[in-house]
Formats: sequence, structure tokens, C-alpha cells
Amino acid sequence: MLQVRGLILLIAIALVAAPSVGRADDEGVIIDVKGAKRGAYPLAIPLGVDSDGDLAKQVQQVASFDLKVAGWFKILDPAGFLADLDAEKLSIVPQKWKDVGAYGVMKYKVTSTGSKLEIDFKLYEVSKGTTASLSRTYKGSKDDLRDFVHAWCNEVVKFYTGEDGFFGSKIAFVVKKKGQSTVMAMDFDGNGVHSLTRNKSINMLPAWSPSGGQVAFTSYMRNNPDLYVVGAGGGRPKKLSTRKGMNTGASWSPDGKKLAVTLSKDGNPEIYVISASDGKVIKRITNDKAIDTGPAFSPDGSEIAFVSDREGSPQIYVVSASGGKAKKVSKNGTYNTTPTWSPKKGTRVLAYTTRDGGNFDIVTLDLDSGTMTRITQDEGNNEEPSFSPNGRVVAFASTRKGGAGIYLANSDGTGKPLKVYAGSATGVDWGPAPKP
Amino acid sequence: MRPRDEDNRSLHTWAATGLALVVTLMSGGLYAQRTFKGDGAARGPALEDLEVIEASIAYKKAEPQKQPQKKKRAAEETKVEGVSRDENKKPVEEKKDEPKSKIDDDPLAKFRRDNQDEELDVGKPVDDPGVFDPDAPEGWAEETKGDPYFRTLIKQLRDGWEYPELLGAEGVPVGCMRLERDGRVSDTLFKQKSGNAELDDSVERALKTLEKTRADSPPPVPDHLLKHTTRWICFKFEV
Repeated sequence: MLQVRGLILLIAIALVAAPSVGRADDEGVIIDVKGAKRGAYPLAIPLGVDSDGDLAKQVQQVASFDLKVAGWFKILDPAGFLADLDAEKLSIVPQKWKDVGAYGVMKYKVTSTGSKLEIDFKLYEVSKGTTASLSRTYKGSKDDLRDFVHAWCNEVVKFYTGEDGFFGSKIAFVVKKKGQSTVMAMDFDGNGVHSLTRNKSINMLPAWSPSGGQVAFTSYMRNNPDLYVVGAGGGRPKKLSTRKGMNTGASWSPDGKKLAVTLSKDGNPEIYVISASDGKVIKRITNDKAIDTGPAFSPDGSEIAFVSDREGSPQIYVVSASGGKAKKVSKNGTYNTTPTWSPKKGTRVLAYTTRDGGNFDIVTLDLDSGTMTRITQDEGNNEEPSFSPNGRVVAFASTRKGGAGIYLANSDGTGKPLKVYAGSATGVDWGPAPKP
Repeated sequence: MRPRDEDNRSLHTWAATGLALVVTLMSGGLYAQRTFKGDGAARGPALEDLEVIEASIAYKKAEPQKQPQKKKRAAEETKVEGVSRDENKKPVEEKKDEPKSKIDDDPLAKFRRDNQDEELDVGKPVDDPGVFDPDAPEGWAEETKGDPYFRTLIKQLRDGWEYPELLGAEGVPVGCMRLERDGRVSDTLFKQKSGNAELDDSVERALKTLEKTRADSPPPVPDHLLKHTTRWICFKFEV
């Protein structure tokens, strides 16, 4: 009996003394590791199953482009997916997606009958299992497909960031051909290019109204640079300012009731604020013997940025929207033009064109911190920036190696610009976000 | 006849005055046309110029000036390892016809140390510590603080730790690993979850990535750290 007791005791001692393999109680050291690499969110968008093949591909393409441009997401290459999509259908097996590095998975199913279309979307967060974090169903006609995908992607952005997306917004620009200049518009992703002006004259400097319902532009159709407003779908333009001399460079106030413009009715180009309904002058903003031009209303409407050569070379100035002394804000370089404000609330950030050596480039300038950020460098001429409605992306005209066109770039200077329009273009202006 | 002469004279005078007036007016008109041709205020600038003026006031020439540049990776110079060099030193021309010094006859001369080598740091770690600061108060267990082997290990771990920017950073998960004598990572486990599923996921992925990174010919654990190969090495992950 004693022997048995002794054996049990020995076994017990041996168990206590043995290293506890497989448990972390026996850790030698605990080391702090600080600072993960904070990158884009890896998102998988596999091709929809049980769907019309062509429509499913279209959904995948539009969604992938939207979310890639958004700046928050890294769209994973579908070629590397391990999941059995036919078996999964609209659900997911989380581990299969974890294994390919996905944090999120977007699933969808497109069905069409005749001209009718229905798309079911689901968004999964891999770490949260098999329950969809977001679901939406869109019903309409086949022509609505792109709009449905844009709307869904806006929901996805809102879900993750709380911000409104800009998918479905439009960009206006000018194309010159055979001595004519035409104001054009397209979806922000380059789809659906169409002309807003149909006269055979010179039309330029388009500016979207805050509602997105109208576009102001300058036209020589009556042999003087006059200001007109046309509906977002085109149609007959309405005269707004046809004063002697220049009526150019319109920028809408945030409430859409006023426009900041350049007028030279009294001899010298100056900045004025006029009524958006009848074109009457509300306030003269500048009074300087130099050329003052290219006004841009700040997002809260309290300030106006403009270009002036009052110190000898074109520079960016900011003045109160109620007038007063203008302050030069552009820092480096002897050539800074085409200022535009970031619409992001609570910020005072301008983007503008600067000449750097022999080329033109886009930079942003935080007026509060003084921080300058490069958007382009060493790639042809890059001009006339315009912010996306949420301020995260900048559109601009470029003559870079990839071919002349309109490009989109992250406004923090990261990433590689994406071309959305191929061909020479000027006067880029990004319209407001579509209404949900 | 006189009155007629008077009339003729008067007519000639009027004609001359008229001619002078016409010439004056024409000259004045021509002058005014030249002088005020470019008055854009009243007529507006030339069609082809307007957009340029509006967009950029491009007629002003400016001195080329550089804006702040994006960071570029400097081209790495290939240097021969183990050779101490003075970058500014001019090459010394070999003197010809100079008698050899006695030391050249010394068969051990090539093994003799140059006195300048006394200034060299000997035994400094050559591993790139990345952004880690061994003197930093945080981030290092006292026992392994500054050790080149651990610095490399932690750098590899951090290089493989990615966490999406748009996700919340709350929580401090603790993950552990077993380090073998040959430098491989043989096992990993989660000791403490943070309650943030995505953050925990990212840590799990980072540990797996480290395991893969060190699967092929990792640097073996040096003798003075071998005791760590028998126990779990744990990491507290703070975003």
C-alpha cells in the first residue's frame, strides 16, 4: 500500500515539475510590439453565382473600381480565392477567406427577367463569422445596374467609415476640338461621357452647383466671355452674366444662392459675388490693379480663394467672402494657380496647380497647419485639381506617360493615380455626391 | 476779279484746313487703334487667350523653383564589405622608382593591423533594427532588450503585422510562439484575446506569417539565448 502511495506521489511530483508543453503559462519573456502597419482593408469581391454571367461581371467590375478608388480598401485578386463559390452561394466559410487575407467579403446575386433587374448584396466581416454585416436588395431595370452598384458601394463605405461615398457622382470637363470647346460630363469612373453644350463656340470652366442639378460655364457663343447656366442633363443654357468684358470662373456658394466670378466690367478683372438667380452683383470682393481671377468658395462659404499677380507672379490668395484684405497663402514657387477647396468638413485645405521646374504639378495645402502634400511629381503636366465630394480623392487633367486624360489620385498623396478619361481635357470639376 | 481772287484764296484756305483736319483725324484714329487694341476690359481678351488667363495667368514667366519633393529611395551604393573608405579621399598616385621600404620585406606585413582600425567599432550588430530604439522605455523586455537576434525577430514580426486603418485599435492581444534552436518557429498560440475580433485576427495572421518567414534557413538562436527555446516567447500587440 505504501508502495502504491509512493508511486502516486512520485507521479504527482513529476506532473507538477514537468514543463507545461502547449500552454503559455511558461512564457519566458513578454515583449511589447507596438505599431501595426495600418494599410487598406483587404476586401474580396468574388464573381456572383446563380447570376446572369455578363451582368455579374459588370457588377464585379463596377464595385471593384468604386471601392478601390475610395482609398480605404485593397481589392483582392479573385484568381487567388480558395472558397468554393458554388457551394457558398451568398454565404461564406470564414476560414477560406481568412486564408487568402480577406477581412471583408462582398457577395451578390444578379437576376434579370426581360428588362427587369434585381441584385442582392451582402457584406461579411470575416472575423465576425457567417452572419452578414450588411444586406441590401435593389430592384429596377437593367439600365439601373451601375446606379445600384454605386448605391451599394456608398452603403459599404458608410458602414465602415461613417462617411458618405461619392460613387455615382459626376465630373465635368472641357474638350477642345477643331477650334471649338465643349463642356462634357461623365460618371466619376469615366462611364457615360456626354456633352452639356451643343453650340459650336468656345465653352469652358464648368462648375457644378451644390445640388448637382446645374452647371455654370463661360461661353463665347455671343462673342464675349459670358456666364451661362445649363441643366445637368444639358439643354438650353440660361444667361446669367453678360457684362462687358470677362464673365468667367464661376464658383457656387455652398447654399447655391450665389456665385463668385471674375468680372472686368470696370476695366480690370476683379472678384465679385453675384446672385445665382438673376446675376446681379451682390458684392465686389477685390479691388486691385493686378489681375484677380479663378475664385473658389470655401466649403462653409466664409472664404474665397483666388489667383492674383499682385506681387508679380500668379499666387493663391484667400479673402473673406464678405470682402476685406486678401492674404497670400501659396508658399513655394513663383507660379500657383487654379485653387480648389477640399469639401471635407472642419478642414481648410486647398489643392492647386504649381509649376515645379518645367512641369505643372498638383499639391494640397492645409491652411491651418501649413502642411503641403504632393499629389503628383515627375509625370508630365498635371493641372486643374478638383476634390471628390468627401475630399479623399482629387481629379485632375494630366499629360503623363499613361496618356493624356483625367486621373484620380488619393488626396493624401498615396497610391497610383487611375485614369478615368482618355484624351486631352481641361477645366476638371467634380460634382456633388448623389443623393441617397 | 479781286473779289473772285479773294474767294479762291478763301476756298484754298478752307481746303487746306480741311485736308489737315482729315489727316489729323486719320492719324489719331490709327494711333488710338494701335494704342487701345489690347484693352481687354472693354472688349474682353482674345478668344484663344482667355482660358489661359483665367486658369493660370500664364503670360508671367517665372523662375523654375522646386516644391517639396516626394521622398525617393536613394540609389544604394554598392560597397565592398569590410573595407574602410574615406569617401573624399583622392586616389594616391603610385610613386615610381621609389626604393621599397624595409617593411615590404616583412613577410608578416599583410597580417599587421593598420593603426587606424583601432577607431573602428568592433562587434556592433549588423542587423537593421528598423525603427526600433533599444533605449526606448517601452517595447522591450529587460532580458532581451537591444539584443540583435531579438531585434531581428521582432522586426520580422512587425513587418508581417498589418491591420486595416479603418478598423478600431482598442484592445491588447497577447500572442506567443515557440522558437527552436535552429531559429524556426515551431508553434504559435493566443494567450489572451483582446475582445476585438479583427485585431485578434491580425495578430494570428502576423504570427503565422512569422512562422512562414522563418521556415526556410532562419538564423539559429545564439548560445546565450538558448534558454528561450524551451519556453514560450510572448508578445503584447499594441496597434
